[in-house]
Amino acid sequence: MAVSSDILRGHTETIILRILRSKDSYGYEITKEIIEAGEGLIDVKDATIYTAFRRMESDGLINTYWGDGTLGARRKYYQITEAGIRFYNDRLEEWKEISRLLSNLIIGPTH
Amino acid sequence: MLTDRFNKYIDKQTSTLPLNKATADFKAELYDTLMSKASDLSDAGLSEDEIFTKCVDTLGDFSETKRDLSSNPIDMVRDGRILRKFLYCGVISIISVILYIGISYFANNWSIPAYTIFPAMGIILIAYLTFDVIKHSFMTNRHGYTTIIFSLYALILLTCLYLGLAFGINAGWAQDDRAWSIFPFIFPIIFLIHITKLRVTGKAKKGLSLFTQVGLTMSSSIAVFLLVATIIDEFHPTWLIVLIGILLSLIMIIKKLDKRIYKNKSIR
Repeated sequence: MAVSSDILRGHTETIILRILRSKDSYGYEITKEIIEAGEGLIDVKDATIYTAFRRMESDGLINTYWGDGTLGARRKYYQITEAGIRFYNDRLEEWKEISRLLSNLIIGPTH
Repeated sequence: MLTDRFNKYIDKQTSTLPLNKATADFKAELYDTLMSKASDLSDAGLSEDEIFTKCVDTLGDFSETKRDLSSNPIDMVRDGRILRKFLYCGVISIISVILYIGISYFANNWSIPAYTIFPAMGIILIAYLTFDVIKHSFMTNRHGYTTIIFSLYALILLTCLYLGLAFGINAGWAQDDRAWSIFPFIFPIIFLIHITKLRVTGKAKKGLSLFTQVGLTMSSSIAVFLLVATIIDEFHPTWLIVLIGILLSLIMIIKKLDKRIYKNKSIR
């Protein structure tokens, strides 16, 4: 069952920060990781990820630096900042609360 | 080669962006992404065409990023291409002046070359300066300046038509300098340009606004009235043309109100 990439709307930044918490990464690798974690059911375009990068960089949630890429090309790496870690933790708590409430609403209260 | 195809693709996608570090970084990042995808796909036994298509299709729409990169006005001033454009305009202007002086001196006529060379120079300069803006507008589907630029072209053409009618054609009407009556047509032309822009860009799906419809009708009726009245030299009863325009506008307003009343009734 294919799932629309709209399901990620509002969570793209949180997902990217979760990936960057474990290690620095670059655009294509992050896109691949999201597709793999989405079990191939979520179609994510690179443009969506790069738009999120620009927003997060201007908000100070991530830093960038250049390294080596494929066949000698320059590669832009992204690194989470302290502000990014705090942002991620806040969004994680928010997500836990929302998913608990949604679960109550859709499945029914668990006693 | 795939690298050349990717570079051409990236250059085409970024051709409207200013030549600065941010654009260069964006291009480098795009290139690395495409090469990484291609590297992953190369083991799947696909042809170069298939790899290229798959890589490009999965990139998505970078319009928002491109808008961010091209939104800084100071980049326009620093862009070498803008400076080169203005220098070319200087060259065209100087060539026009040299041509005017040369032709006028040898033909011993200083007025006809002025009426032809300088308007031609103006048209060439305006077309040259605005061509890139129009191209950029259609590539990015942002048409903030399209109506203004095409209206300017229309005004120039009307002015040339006026000069031709008023000075170039040996007709009774032209010699009385009633040729000015073509200028009011600029207003319905502006509305028509606006409507054409909406239709071409697909922004007229819900129909035209009442202001556009009434504006086109009224401006057309006034322009036609002035033209006919000037030609036959009778302002009465030709003013009835304006009355017909008012009548048509009122009918449009009533139809719009009817739709709104019907819609409100359906909601209840």
